[in-house]
Amino acid sequence: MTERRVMRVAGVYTLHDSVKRVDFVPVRSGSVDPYPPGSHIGVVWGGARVNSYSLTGSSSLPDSWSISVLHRGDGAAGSAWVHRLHPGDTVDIIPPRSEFPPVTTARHHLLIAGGIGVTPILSHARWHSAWGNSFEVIYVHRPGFEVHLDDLREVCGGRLVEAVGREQFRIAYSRALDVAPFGSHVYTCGPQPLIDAVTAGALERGWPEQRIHSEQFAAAIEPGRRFTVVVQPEGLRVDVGGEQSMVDALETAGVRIPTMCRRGVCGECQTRVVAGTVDHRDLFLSDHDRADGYMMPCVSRAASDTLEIHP
Amino acid sequence: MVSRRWKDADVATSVMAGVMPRPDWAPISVTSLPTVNGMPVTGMTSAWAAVAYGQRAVSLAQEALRGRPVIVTVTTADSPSGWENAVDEVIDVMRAGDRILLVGPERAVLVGAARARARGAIDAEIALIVTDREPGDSEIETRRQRRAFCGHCHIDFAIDAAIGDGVNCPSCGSLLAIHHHFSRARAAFLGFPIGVGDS
Repeated sequence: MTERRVMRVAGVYTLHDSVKRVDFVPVRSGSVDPYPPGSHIGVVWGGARVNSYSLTGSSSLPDSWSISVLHRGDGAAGSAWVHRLHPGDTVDIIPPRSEFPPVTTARHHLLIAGGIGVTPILSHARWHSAWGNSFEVIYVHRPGFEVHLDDLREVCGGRLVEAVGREQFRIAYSRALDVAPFGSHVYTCGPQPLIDAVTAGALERGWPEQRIHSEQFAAAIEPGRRFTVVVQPEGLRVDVGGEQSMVDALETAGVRIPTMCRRGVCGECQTRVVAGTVDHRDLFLSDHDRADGYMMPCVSRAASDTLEIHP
Repeated sequence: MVSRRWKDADVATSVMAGVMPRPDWAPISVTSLPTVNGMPVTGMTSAWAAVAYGQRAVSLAQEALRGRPVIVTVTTADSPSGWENAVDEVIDVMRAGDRILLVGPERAVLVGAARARARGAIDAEIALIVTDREPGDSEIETRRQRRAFCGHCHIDFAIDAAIGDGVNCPSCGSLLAIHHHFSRARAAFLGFPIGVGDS
């Protein structure tokens, strides 16, 4: 069972019509733990659901664990739940996990934020600024979406380039690649098309893949064929649509499976399969685990018409 | 100070593979052309910098890089300190996406690779050509200039030895067996103290 801590909401701030910042502190007095830049926490809501959000504050001397949450109309209501929090509320929090840290041997850090993907990038920028590292930030956003822009300006000074829209980004990124010194690393957080564009641009200039890092802020459900899950021991049958993840379909049917990253990375939703063939799409399980009959239903699907699981 | 400059020429890419034998006993990375999705980068947008130790090494570097964009080729004095400074200076003018080719005796290229990694290079960006190996040489049993690390007093020193030879540490005098364990960071073979604690 993943460690959880009961935390108190210390403050809620509106950063934009659709974005709220929420600060969490221990219920009893005391400091919160520091964390590597780019870490995220898990906010537990609705009993067993967990949404992951990047921490935006100072990672080495944090006053609180601070997140900024975009209210998504298309999600499973986790962001709406966060937006309804008030100071004084208590929330179960999964402590910081690091999946998007800076590379300590880098000679220069090129940080690229797309929209609400600014959150872990701000954390990286604070770290580099505090330690005097060589870095620059390109913040691409749509007009009017200026979440954390003032914070970035304060932290980065002249090392911040703002890009409104794709064309401005293309020019800014191309310029950054032109002058990036040997030993640079690039980090992107944003929507998949932005990550793809950054990756393609760097590869075209000969950057090795090991220098290109990214974090997607929303799980992309890769579509697949429809199938039926049979949940044992009850024998409950649940249909999974082609555009739906298996874990979402199970939750809708009342079958709770613990999740966290929902990207096939963290291992939280590992589930035993007792019959059927799995289309494995995760990055967590080893071949040995798969052969032993485990799957990650947040991203993986059935390769057969039915899949029998025993959660 | 090294200045960044460009050269041009063309020749087959197979030269690189042919002149860069990968030793089967040392954890040394040898790379060739940068690739995207398994295909060589077209248009040669990334360039090579070469650092060569000695005149023969310069010729080999020029041969290996013919046909590739080259940002700088350096002839260094045949001295360890001059060599490490040259690696530093070349890295200072390189851009992300470039590659570095180190050509010279085994000891020099291993030291250069360690230096490059310490300055932010990763294995995929470092290529090596060793000039003091002849066809048929045993990687282990052939004596050559090497750097060793004394496991007793923890200093690095230069030796002319084969792996398995016994040598005395020039600092503490301990008898050391030159072990095949190689430190990439120090560019040195472990000098394993023999008989320490026996008396």
